[in-house]
This record gives sequence, C-alpha cells and structure tokens, in this order.
Amino acid sequence: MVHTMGCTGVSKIFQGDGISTYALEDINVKFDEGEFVAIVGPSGSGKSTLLSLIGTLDLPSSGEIMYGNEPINNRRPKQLADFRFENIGFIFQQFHLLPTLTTLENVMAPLFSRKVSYNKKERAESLLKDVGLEDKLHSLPSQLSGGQQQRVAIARALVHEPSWLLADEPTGNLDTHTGEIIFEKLSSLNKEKGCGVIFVTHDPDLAARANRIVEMKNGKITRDSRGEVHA
Amino acid sequence: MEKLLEIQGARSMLRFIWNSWWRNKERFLLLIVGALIVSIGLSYLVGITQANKATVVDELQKRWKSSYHIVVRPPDARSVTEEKKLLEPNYLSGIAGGISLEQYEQVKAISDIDIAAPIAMMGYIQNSTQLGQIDITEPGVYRMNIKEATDNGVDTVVDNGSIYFTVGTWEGPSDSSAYGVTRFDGKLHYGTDILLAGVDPDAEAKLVGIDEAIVKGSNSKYLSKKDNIETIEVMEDIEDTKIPVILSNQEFVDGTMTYTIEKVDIPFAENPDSTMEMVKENGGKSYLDEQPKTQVDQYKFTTSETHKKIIEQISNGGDIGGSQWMRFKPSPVEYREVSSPYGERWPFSYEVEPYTVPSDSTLAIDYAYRQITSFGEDSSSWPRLQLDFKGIFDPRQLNISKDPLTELPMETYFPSKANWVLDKDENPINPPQQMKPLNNPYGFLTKPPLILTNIEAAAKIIGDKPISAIRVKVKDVEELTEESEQTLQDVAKKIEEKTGLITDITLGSSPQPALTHIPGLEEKENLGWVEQPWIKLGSSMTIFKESKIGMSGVIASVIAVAIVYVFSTNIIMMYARKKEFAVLLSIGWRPNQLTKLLFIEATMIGVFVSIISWLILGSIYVTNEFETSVWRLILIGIFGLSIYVLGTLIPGFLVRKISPYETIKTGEISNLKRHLFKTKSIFSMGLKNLLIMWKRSILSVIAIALPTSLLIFFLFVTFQLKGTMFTTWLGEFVAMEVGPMHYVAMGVAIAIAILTTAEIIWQNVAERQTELAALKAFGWHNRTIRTLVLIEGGLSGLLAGLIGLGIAFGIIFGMYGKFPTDELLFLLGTILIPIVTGIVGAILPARKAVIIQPYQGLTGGFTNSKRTEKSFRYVFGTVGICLFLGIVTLLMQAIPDTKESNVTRPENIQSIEGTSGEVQETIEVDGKSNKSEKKMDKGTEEEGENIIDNKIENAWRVLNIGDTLEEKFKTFTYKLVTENPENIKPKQANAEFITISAELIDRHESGSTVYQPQKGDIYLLDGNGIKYNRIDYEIVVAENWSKIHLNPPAKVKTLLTFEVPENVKQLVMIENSKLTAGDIVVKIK
Repeated sequence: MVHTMGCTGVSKIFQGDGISTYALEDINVKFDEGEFVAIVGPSGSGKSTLLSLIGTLDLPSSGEIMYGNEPINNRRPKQLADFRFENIGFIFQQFHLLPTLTTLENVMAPLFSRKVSYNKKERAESLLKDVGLEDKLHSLPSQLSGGQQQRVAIARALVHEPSWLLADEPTGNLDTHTGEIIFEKLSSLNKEKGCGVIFVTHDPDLAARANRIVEMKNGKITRDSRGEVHA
Repeated sequence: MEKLLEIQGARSMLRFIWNSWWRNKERFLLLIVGALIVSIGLSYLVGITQANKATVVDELQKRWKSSYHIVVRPPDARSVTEEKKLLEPNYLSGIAGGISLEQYEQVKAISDIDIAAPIAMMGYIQNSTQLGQIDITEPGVYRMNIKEATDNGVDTVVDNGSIYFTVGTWEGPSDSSAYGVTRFDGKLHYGTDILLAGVDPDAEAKLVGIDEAIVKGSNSKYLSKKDNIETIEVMEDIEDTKIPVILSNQEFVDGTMTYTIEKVDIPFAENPDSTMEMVKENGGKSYLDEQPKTQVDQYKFTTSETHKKIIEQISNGGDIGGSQWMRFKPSPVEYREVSSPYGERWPFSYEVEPYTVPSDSTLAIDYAYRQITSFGEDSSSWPRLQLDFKGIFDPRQLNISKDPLTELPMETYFPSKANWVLDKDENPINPPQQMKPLNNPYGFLTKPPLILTNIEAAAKIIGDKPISAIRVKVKDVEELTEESEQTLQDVAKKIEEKTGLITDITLGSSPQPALTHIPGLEEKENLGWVEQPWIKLGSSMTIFKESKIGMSGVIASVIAVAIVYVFSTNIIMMYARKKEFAVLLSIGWRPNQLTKLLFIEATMIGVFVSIISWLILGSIYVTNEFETSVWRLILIGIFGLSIYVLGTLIPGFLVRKISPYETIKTGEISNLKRHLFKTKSIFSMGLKNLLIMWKRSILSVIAIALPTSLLIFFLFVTFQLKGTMFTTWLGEFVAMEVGPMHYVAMGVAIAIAILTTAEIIWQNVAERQTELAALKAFGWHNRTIRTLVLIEGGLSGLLAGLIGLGIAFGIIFGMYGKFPTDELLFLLGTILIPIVTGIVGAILPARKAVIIQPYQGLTGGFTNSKRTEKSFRYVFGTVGICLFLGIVTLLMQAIPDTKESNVTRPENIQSIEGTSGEVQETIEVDGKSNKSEKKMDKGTEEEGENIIDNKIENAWRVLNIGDTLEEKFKTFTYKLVTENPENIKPKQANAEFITISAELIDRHESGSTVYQPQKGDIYLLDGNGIKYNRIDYEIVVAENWSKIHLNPPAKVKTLLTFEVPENVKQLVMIENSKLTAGDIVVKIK
C-alpha cells in the first residue's frame, strides 16, 4: 500500500523567551507515491522541520499532516510510532546508528518486539548484502567509515519496506565520492522498489537530480518545480 | 506462537540491554560501581542494625544485667559520688541498716513488685578456727611473736605483735599485765574479719538463686524459716545470740599468720615467783623485750588453709562456733572528688577521705580508710554471737553476672575488682596490679558479706532498723525499653511515697571505671591510684535510646541517598541517551518500549545489587559468625530491587516525553522565561546555569542535602551522647562499635552525593559544550571556565547545605524538642562539607569543560568526544573502585573490632564533665593535710596580679632555673643558655631572647606519652600574665622520642628560644606536659 503524503496549512511555531518564531508558515504541499523529491533552501528556511513533520517526528503547531486522505497528526504517540514503523524509513545526516549495536543489530533494531511475517535476521542480512556490507555484519558503528555507516542506516530504514524514505542531508557528513554512492543507492531504491524518497539537501547538484525540487525560504515554500528525471 | 514470540522478544530485549551495557564498558563500570556502593549500603544497613540491635541490647541485658531493677536505701545513704550518678562498687556493704521491717513489709506489699529482697549488713566478725596447740612443757617465760602478712596485691602488709606467757608453776593474778605476761592457753587461732549480713531466705533465693548455690553435703543446708534464734545466757548480764548462718566457700584475703615462740633467757624453773617479781619491778614487758631470747618453735597458717579447715569442720558437722563479739559496724568509705590525673582515660576520680580515729578511742590506730563505727566503746555493748552453721554456699553458683571482665559490681557476693594503675607520682603501673582486700574491716576495698543469716536474726541483734537496702525486682520487666523504664519509675515513686526511703533504678546501669586516690596513712606510703569498676546509674538506658535514634537516622540516610543516587543517575543516563532514544522512536519504537527498557534495566541492576548484598552479608556472617534472619535477607532483596525500580519511575515517565524530533534538532535552545537578573559576573553566570537546568540542579542539591542533613544530625546526636557515651565501658563499647560505622555510612552517602553531583554537572557541561566552546572562542581563559563550572558545583553544595541544615534542625527539634543553640556554631560550620562535596563533584566536569576546543562549538551538537569521555570514565571508575575497596576494608575491620572493644578503648575520648579537686599526699600523724589547708586559704585569690604566684601555688613542682628535678623515674633539668640562635632577629623593639635548655630523662622501661616541649608543653609567663611561646627550637638529644611520643627509656634535650621584653620583672617557665601530674614552674626572674 503506497499512499500520497502531504501538508495542509501546516505551521510550526517555536516559542522561546517570549518571542514566537515561525519555522514553517502555512505550508501546503503534497507528495505523490514513488516521487523522488529534494527539499532545498538556506539554513533556517525550515526544510528539516518540514521533513520531521512529514515523518511525524514532530507535530505541527497548526494544520494537518495527511497520509492518503487521512490526517495523522492527531494520533497518539503509540500509533504514530506504529505509523513510522509501517510507512517511513529515516536517514539522518549524522547516521544515528546505535553505537552499542552491531551492524546487523542496528538494522534489526526497528523490528524489535514487532511481529512480522518474515525472518528478521534473513531480511536484515539480505539488506546489508544489498548495500555491500555482508562482511561487516558484526562490526560496531565505531569500526565503520562514514559511508559504511550511512549504508547501514539505509538498510535500517528499509528493513520493514516503508513506502517512504525520508533523508535529512544524507550526504552532508560525507565526502563527495561517498556521497555519490549513497545518493545512487537512494536513487536506485526509488526506481527499483518504487519507494518514495524525500531528501533535504544543501547541494544544488544533488537536488537537480531529483524529479521534484521544493525550494524553501523563511518557512515558506518559494518554489515547487518538477524537473526532468535524471537518467 | 504468541508466547514464543513474547519469550523471543524478552530474550532479545535482555540481549539488547546487555549489549548496550557491555559494549560501553566505561559506562558499565560506572553503573557497577554505583550498584556496588548501594549494595554495600544495604548489607551495611543489615549488618549494622544486626550488630547494633543485637549486641548493644544484648550487652545491656545480659552481660551487665543486675539481679535487681530498683534499689531502696535509707534516706541518708547517698554518697557524694552520686552527684555524678556513680555508686562505688559493693556500695551496699557500706550501709549499716536504716530500714525497718515495717518499711520492708510496705515495699513488699506494693503491687507490680515481684521480689523485694532485703539485706541487712550487720557487722564484722572473726571467722576463725583453732589451727594448732603449742606443745611446750619446759617451764619458762616465752614470747610469742604474732606476725600477719597480708598480700594486698601490691605489696605485703605486715602486722606485728607479741605476747609473753609463762609455762610452769607460776600463777599470777588474773590481770598479769604488770608482769608483762598474758594468760595463754596455747591454742593458735587464725581467721579473717568477714561481714555478716541478714537476708530474707525466700526472697534471696528468688533473687539470686542462693538456695541452688548451697554446696551439697549432709551438713549443708540453706537457711530455713524454721531455724531458731536462741538467746543463751552465758553469765549474768551477758547473753549470746545463737543465729543460723551459712558461709561462703570463697575466701578473698590472702594472708599468712606466723607464730614464733621464743624462750626468754632468764632463770625461771627454780624460782618462778621471784623471777616474775623481778620482771615486774624492772618494768614488765619492756624488761622482757630487752632480754635475749631463743627461738623454740614456729607455726605458720594461711587464710586459705584456715578457710578450708572451717569449711571441713562445718561439713563434718563439727561445732566451731563458740561465742564471739561483733565489734564493728559496716561503714562506707568517704570519697572526695579530685581532678583526674588522666582525665581523658578516667574522667572520674575520687580520693578516699581517711578517717581520723578520735583520740579517746581505745583503738590502736589513728587513721583508717573508712569510718570505724563500733557497736560500743567496750565489749559490754558489743553483740555476742554464736554461729550455728547451717550450710556452705558457693557464690560462683549464684544466678548473677559474674563475667570477671565486665562484672557490674552491684551484686553483694564478690569483692569488686581493683587495679593499682598509677603510682603516687602518677606513673603508670605496667601491668596494672590487682588489689586484694586486707584482713581488717577498715580497708578501702569494700568487702562483700560472706556470712549470711536471716533477717529476723538481724533484727534481733541490730534492733530497730536492721535493713541496709532492699533490692527490688519488678514484674514483667525483662527488656530494656522505654516502657520498662516507665514502669520502674512508677514503682520507684510508689516506694518513695509509701516509705520515705530513697530509690534508684539500677536497670540499665553500666560499669564505669573510676580512679581512686589512696593517700598514705601514718607511716604507710601514699599508694597512688586504684582503678575500680564503679556503677554508673542509668547510662545504658540513655545509650540505648540515643543509639536507637542514631541508627534509624543512619538507616534512613543510606536508603534515601541510595534512592536519590539511583534516581539522579537514571535521569542523567536518560538525558545522556536522549538522542539514542529519539533515534529508536524515529525508527518506529513505541514510547512504552523505552519505558519497558528502562524498567528491565533497573530490575537487572536491582537483582545484581541484591545478589552482591547477599554475598557481602554472607561473607560477613561467615567470617564473624553473626546470626541473621530470613526476613532480613528477603528485605535486602526487596530493598535492592525497589531502590532501582523506584528510581526508574520518573525517568520511565520522562522518557515518554522524548520527541523523535531530537534526532534532527541540533543544539538545544532552552531559556529561562525571563531573566531574573542580569548576567554580570562569573558567579551570576554559574547561578544562571544552575537555574536554567533547575530540574536536575534540584536533584544534585537533594543528593547532597540528604546526607548532609543526616550527618549534621548525627554529629548532634554524638554531642548529646558524649556525656554518657564515652564515660562508661558500655559507652565505649557502643562508641567503638557504632561510631566508625556511622561515619562510614555518612562517608558512603557523601561519596554517592559527589558521584551524583559529578554526573549531573558533567551532563550539564556536555550539553553546554557549544556554549563553552564559544566562550573559549571569544577568548575566555581556561581558568575562568573552570571557575565557572566549579562555582556551579559550589553553589549546588551551598544550596544543599542550607537545605540540609534546615532539615537537620527540623529533625533535632522534632526529636529533642529544642534548637541546638549550644552546638550551633559548630553545626553551622558543617555547611562546608556540602560545599566541598559540590566543588569536588564539579572538578572532573570542570576539567572536561576546559579541554573543550573552540572549534568543537562550530560543529554543533553535544556528543562527548571519545577521548574525554573515556578519560572521564576511567578516572571515575578508578575513584569508584578505590572507594568500594576502602569501604569493604572498613566494613570488614569495623565488625571484628566490635568484638574486642571491651579491651581496646577509643583513643580520643571526648571531654566530659569529670571530677575535680586536689589530692592529698600522706596524712600526717598530727592530723594536718598541709596541702589541702593551703588550698583553702587561696581559694578566692584575685587573678591577674598574682598569676605567677598562683601558678607556683598550684604547681606540681617549683624549681629555680639551673636546678635539676629528680623524680623516681624522671629527671628534669632546665638551664639558661647564653648563646641564642644567630639566624633570628627580635621582632619587637626592646626585646631579648631567652634560650632554655630543657632536658628530660625518663627511666621507665616501657610506655608511651605525648611530650612536645617544642609545641607548647613549655612556655614562659611573665608577671602580667602574658604567655610567650617559643619562637625557635633546636633538638639536641632525642633518644626514643618522635617529637611527639616519648617511648621510655628516653632522653630528650631541646633548646627553646623565647622572645621576651627586656623590662619584664617576673618571669617563669612553665612545663605543662602529660608527663607530670601538674605544672613544673621554673623561676627565671
């Protein structure tokens, strides 16, 4: 089941020291299933905030986060967790692997105490094989390079076959070459598995390779353009 | 299938937790250290309550249990020593009646009284028997030299006398004293003066089980109601009273009687009459004394063989009685308070006030150690007794406390222990020598009654008020509790109201070592000081109460601090793992899974703590043979688990508040809603930091405040106890046992507080890394940053201290109903402890803050750098392990210590209100104690003007400079040295240097005393009362002297230089060291 995702009239206000700051202001956007979307914009433009709202990591101050035709932002934390488990895979700029778990364990971490129809270990192993880390199953994150860590993170994000991958500057902490490999991976996932990808980036080159670019500034979407699909 | 999945889930959860611990070894170590400290706290808790409750109360109830709860005495029986709640050992033996049989009946009739056992100390009789018969047939004048040598434990006291008698046909007048001779039947007797007492056979049997202590034998029975008291008329106006008695089979006098028979070398056989007339004309006895003599026979008898013979005779049913006079009544020793020569060791000292025999007395002595009260001036008024021996009793079989080491000398059947500990120059006797009683009724050792009759006989002989004291045992009083004390007080009040007699509650009394100074008598030398176990009334009750309070405080503090520690650690851990949890949430974990995770973790550590506590306890029990109960073990398990589970409640709740958004958020923007004040200085910046993180600051404040408040409270309790705690053997026992353990507990609590504070501030620093890096980038110095963090710690400590003081005062007020005004200053001073705790806790975080590099701020986030994290964990781990090992050692040592604490006494005994007064030397024959008279004269001398004169008057020895003071074991020499040290210059104008060479030779063979002439033991004093301490010193000779301790045989010579104004008129040097009984004053100018 793949659904569209979107925001209707979403605003996010941060309260601090008596002053309210709009991080997002009246955002209306809709992402179609299987889209490959880049969110770009200067620092503080609200792109990461938007990504976290779409991924239900945070809740909007007003407006609704839509999944299909249903608003999901009024669900209970437990249901939101289930929603994330079912539908969203996250990839972070700082990888955010659990330092005390091995590669394999990190990938299996989302399945923890969840009932699934497949064999968790086999699934994790095959995913790690997909990202080329079959020989690092029992390494700890501290023993891996940045690119390897991010590939583990991708495998982790994919373990329950989400309909959407949300990536917050996935290549931001990597050198150009490694970044390219990661981006290629995301791109091929989008193509081969039909999994929607939304990523935040600073890099106009990477953004240009997405089939839709959402540009933001001061908490607002300034431009939403569908580019050509990069070959 | 569901179940299988659950089990799998649980297993994977456990593995997840274990991995996350094991793969973060430093953090794991910290966790373990904390858990170990808590385990120790727990096992300690049980160990101490066990040791405390079991041993203290057992000691009180079993070992020093007196056979009676209340003693009733005649109204005038109070001694001066009772002002300090002290009773001399065997105090009952000194009371010569005063209670009537009616009063006794009144006491008996009071409800709640189980046993009322009267004892009537009647008087001293000779327990003697014939041991030999002189077998001389050759007529002549003979002298019999009678020499009694009694071993009093210190030396042999010899009593010499002689009589002359004749053998042959001469028959002088009935009173042949003019001829210098005595009529003598040749029978040789020996025996000892023993105290006869009347008891109620039934009550005594019930009280001490004396009926069971009768030595078995056909002629040995206990006193019975049917025993007759007969009056036998011997001659006209002379009556014997025949009374039933039982005799103790113990003899305590160690004497030897030697009878030496010598023949006087004068002709006798041919014409006895003319010879005797010649003797009479030449002065009788004095003439005979001058004549040469030849020894013809000698007989020796010891007290023990005499006693054995008496016992045999009684056992064989032989009549050994005969009639005898009872001349002396029992009398108490008069004591006078004196200053203790070693007030720290023996706070209570008394001097025996010798009794001066009235000059018109027929007694052959002038002085005695106790008042000599006889039944009358001559034998016509002395009771004549015939002893009808019914049986022999063995006091060792009595149902009374007889532990020789800790005997509570309240029972009537043994002489009390007395050790000669200091000679007349106050030099210790090593080893102390045990004193034995002398064979006369007026020695200073109070004797027990060794021969008992019934109370009717006592009434018949003594008359109106025969009973000396009634020992009362109250129904249903078994244990030392507050209720039982109340019951006893009620009964005592009733007795006083009904009879007008005085009562004292003896339950809960403890032996109290006290010194007695024995002044010399006539030609006998001043003996020095004797240590005896006195009876301190009511001390154990106080100790019991106080240590109960102290204990609950300690228990509460250990538990509370452990909970706060676990709680704050959990919170801090949660903050530190915030990002990790956020990641888990973002990948689809449910919030309650996080809660579950925390609780499972807590349970695992809790179980670990329980197991470790059990192990520690187990090893303590194995090595120290303590007993424990199952419920205690269960309790420990529950405590271990619940501390950790309870400590997880709030973090378990807070963890649900974590937003997965934390994964994306960089840097924390948390601000106070409003600025309370302007950030002007480092100080206010530190305060602001505390306030921003106010929730966790409260945690660290509580973590420090709790142990602080309990520490303050405990110090106060110690103050309260010092009056009773350190003055009795029991108190020493408790102090030894409980004191160190209390402080260990407080130490653990404070260590935990430091750990907690450190963790909290560490986390604060970690989270403010960006801010601190920015400050550095602005050019702040490392020192400033360190100060900033330390100020945070110090402020937490200060706040904790204030709260702690408040709580402590609250508890004190609640428990004692008063504000500790006396100790206020000291207690307020303890606020330093939490401040230091806070600062110490901040040291490591401050170090961390300092090593933050400016660039680290630029990358954002607050992950601790691996290196600093590691070094932090290592340092912490090491500190924690050291702490743990230290505590284990302390625990292991503290517990066995308690077993020997009767023998080893604490070195530092708190100063308590002891006795004070001057001692006398030998009592001269002219009856003057010159020293004490002098004291009288100058009692009210004005101060200031005659300070030196005053010092000289009160001095132990006064010398002129250049003199040498020769004492038995020590020699002191003080000389002026003309050469002053060259390297110093006078600080004042018109001042001169005086250098004194002080030399000490100590010829003792052993011992150790503090002697510090260079540290104020020697100073100068001028006529205006100005004291000068040495400004320079040089050690010339130091044999067996460590600059502090003198370990004789030793020799010390020091040159002490003083700076003194030139115009000083009067100047003395004072030596006030522990070596001497008082000041040595050396006149210089």
